[in-house]
Amino acid sequence: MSNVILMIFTGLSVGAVYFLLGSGLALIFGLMRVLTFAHGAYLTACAYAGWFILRHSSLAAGPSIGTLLLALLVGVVVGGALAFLTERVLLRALYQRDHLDQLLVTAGLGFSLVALLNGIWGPDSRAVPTPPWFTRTTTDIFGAHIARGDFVLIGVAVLLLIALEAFLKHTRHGLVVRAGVENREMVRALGIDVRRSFTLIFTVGGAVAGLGGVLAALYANAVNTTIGDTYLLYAFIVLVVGGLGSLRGAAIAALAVGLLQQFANFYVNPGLGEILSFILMGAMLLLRPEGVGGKKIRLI
Amino acid sequence: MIPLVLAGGVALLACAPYLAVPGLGVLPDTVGSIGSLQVLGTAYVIAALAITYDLLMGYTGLVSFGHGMFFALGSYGFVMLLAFTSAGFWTAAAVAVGITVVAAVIVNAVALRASLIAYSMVTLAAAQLMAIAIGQNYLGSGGVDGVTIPFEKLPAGLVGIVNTKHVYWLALGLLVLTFVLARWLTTTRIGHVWRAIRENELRAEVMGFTTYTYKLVVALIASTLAGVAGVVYAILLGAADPGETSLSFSIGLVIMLILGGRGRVWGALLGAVVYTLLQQRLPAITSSAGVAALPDAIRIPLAQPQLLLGVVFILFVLFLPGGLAGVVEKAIRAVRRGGSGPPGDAAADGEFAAAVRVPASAEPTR
Repeated sequence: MSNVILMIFTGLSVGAVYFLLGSGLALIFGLMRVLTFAHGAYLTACAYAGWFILRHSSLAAGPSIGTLLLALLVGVVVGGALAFLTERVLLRALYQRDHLDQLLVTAGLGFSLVALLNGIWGPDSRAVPTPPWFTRTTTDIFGAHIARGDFVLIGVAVLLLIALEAFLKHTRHGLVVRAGVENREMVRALGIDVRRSFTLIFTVGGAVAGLGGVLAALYANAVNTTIGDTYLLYAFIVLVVGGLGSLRGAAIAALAVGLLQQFANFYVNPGLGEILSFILMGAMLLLRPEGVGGKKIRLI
Repeated sequence: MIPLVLAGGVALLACAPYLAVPGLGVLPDTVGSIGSLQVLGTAYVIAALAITYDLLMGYTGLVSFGHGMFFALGSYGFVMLLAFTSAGFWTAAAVAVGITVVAAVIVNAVALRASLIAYSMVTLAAAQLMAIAIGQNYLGSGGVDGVTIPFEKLPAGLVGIVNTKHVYWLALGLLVLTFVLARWLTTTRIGHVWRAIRENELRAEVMGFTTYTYKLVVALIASTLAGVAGVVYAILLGAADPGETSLSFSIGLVIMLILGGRGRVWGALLGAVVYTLLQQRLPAITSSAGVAALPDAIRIPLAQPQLLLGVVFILFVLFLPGGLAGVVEKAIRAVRRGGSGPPGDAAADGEFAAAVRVPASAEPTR
């Protein structure tokens, strides 16, 4: 029983990071029809930014709450800034062209950014100091020892879901974004500059990915240059399974993938969880291309 | 004229093991040295792979993020059959390519049901399945270490440093074969349909072509040739390398095409050779004493071939969508227009003519 509880929480925490990256991807694809490969690299860059802030605190005592919040804030700002610049400098020039070119530019950017990080800090993992309460203090739930970090990750993901939903539902920008997901041409025909929403959503996606990067680094106690690629692949699964432009779909998909991974890896065979996740993605693309989010727009 | 130049070039490359020309820093030593032959051989195999990928992405417009998977299947199939079964050299090679074909049929028959971006994602997923299986050491695939070829099972002529030139010739032969085959295929009727699909799939469909079948055929040809290239690569490397299944390997193929010029066989070749030489040689060049003295802000970008390639790639997508081949062709055309070259020659340059015209309209309607 305690194993099951433990795995549920671990699965939810991993799913939380998938959601942080995947929700941004889902909104970006839904609105802009751009499949971005760059957000994985933003996640890695922000994980390093977080580590850069945290590394000066001692490994034994761990950073204070203040430093931790500062690291998270820096992650959000760096991720948002990177995404903002990408959209303004690189993607704007390509909106008249094929979607493939936009995909290629983000892939090239991700490739370069990871290479740059490799050049500065090398491919080896760096230890990330975490406060003792984050990883070592546990709470007993039905006999399972759950680390506080799990609650933090899950809490952040839930708060983010609520905040983004509120933003989409109750603000004017959110209204334009929702309308743009439904029918971009119509929004443009009504005289609204939909490109401002593109910038906004791309930046929000980057900021959220940055937050995910710092949290993932804290959760794993380590950063290296490959984490972004790994999370990006699962964020793609979340995007496909959840459906484009659907936040709730992304949340359900992230939850499902996180849990599936933990349980299959533990009970059957290490690696099976990952394999099943990718099979799930392939099956969704072929059988239900609109995803669980249920919007009848095909992922063409 | 052009076939003669090509044949001359190939003959020259075939003589490379006997040339003591200095490598000028592009190659580790003189051209004929063991190290240089190894680097060149790698470039040839990767170029052959890039040409097969060009058939898919450049000619037909199918952006696969899992092409490295078929290359890896050839490599791993071959090496693992040699290492774990009693199969001999030729049996292992043939069965490995057979496995690649079967996998290619399954993956592509399914993935082509979806279209464009969904095809990319399904191929990505398929390649990841293999990457995970290898990472977890399923079937003894060795995890991050890969699998080493049991050298006693290779023909004696391919083993050992003295025989590096034979492996080099094998790689060159593969490249020539792939190049000729791809050039020929793209000038046939089927090649024209591929381009029609790239330009406008709906139009090709309306004209009466079952585009699904044409796409499946190009995917099968490309994957099979990739499997063959994988076998040669395993012989060259002496092992099967897990890096071949990674996402960045497949993105590397995309970068080669953009660099060289997609939709042109020799563009893919050019891009792959430039890419491979940069990747293999840049770290060695930049670790030399002169560069090490430079400040960090200059040294770090120079020492990272991936960074340089990534940035150049972005600039090419933005400003030179035709790649290096496009630049060269533009220059040739300018020279011909300015000079007094026979006008018939331009039409004979089928590769270029095919790349600029809208292929769908070139196909006779029936």
